[in-house]
Amino acid sequence: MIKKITILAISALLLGGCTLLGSKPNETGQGMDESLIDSTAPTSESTEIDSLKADINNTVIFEEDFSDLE
Amino acid sequence: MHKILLATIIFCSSFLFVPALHAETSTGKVGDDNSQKIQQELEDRREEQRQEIQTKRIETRLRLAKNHAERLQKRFSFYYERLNNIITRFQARLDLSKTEGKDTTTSQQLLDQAKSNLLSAESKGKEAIQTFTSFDPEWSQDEMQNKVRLGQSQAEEARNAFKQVLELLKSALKSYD
Repeated sequence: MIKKITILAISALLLGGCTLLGSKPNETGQGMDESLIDSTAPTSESTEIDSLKADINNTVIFEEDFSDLE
Repeated sequence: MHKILLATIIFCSSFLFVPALHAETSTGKVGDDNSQKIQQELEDRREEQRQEIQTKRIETRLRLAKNHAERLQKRFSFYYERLNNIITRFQARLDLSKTEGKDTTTSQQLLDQAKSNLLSAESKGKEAIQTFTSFDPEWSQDEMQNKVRLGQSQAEEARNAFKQVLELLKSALKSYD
């Protein structure tokens, strides 16, 4: 029984390790970039001051990352 | 008599070893040639591998630069559209408030500055995108590195300009209140 559990545990570790090694990090954060932009609330069409305030406060200028080109 | 016979035998037998010795020397030469050939082949193979690595490195850099150009294009267009939309609506708000007799001088000044900075941010962004799309596989390692630095600093300048627009809009909003 212990032997079976050990084999299962080793298999799980190997499978997990292979999955981690196989997964390729997203180059230049393209996917992350899209999701960040898509998650930003769209601007309204209203000229009311509260609406303008909300849109200004929801605007984020993201950091730039060029470390992959170094 | 025996001595003469012995000397003759020794003399004759010495001829038997000459071809063998000669053959040995020839084999040595062939061996040297072979090892030189192998050495050359190895050297050629190493050079080929070096070239392949170099080509792959350049291809990766070009792909990454292209990705950055696309990413920046998307990002900067997003900032521009969004901030421009806010500025337009803010201007409409100020125009309306002016007709209602509200003093909007400071807000208007800040908004005008934001408009001007937005144009500058857009142009700086285009420069950065242009730099990342202009990567040439014929460039040397140093040239490529210099272009990376240039594109990076242009993108950073554009980002700061967009940030300034956002700050100006926040200040304009504060002065409106």
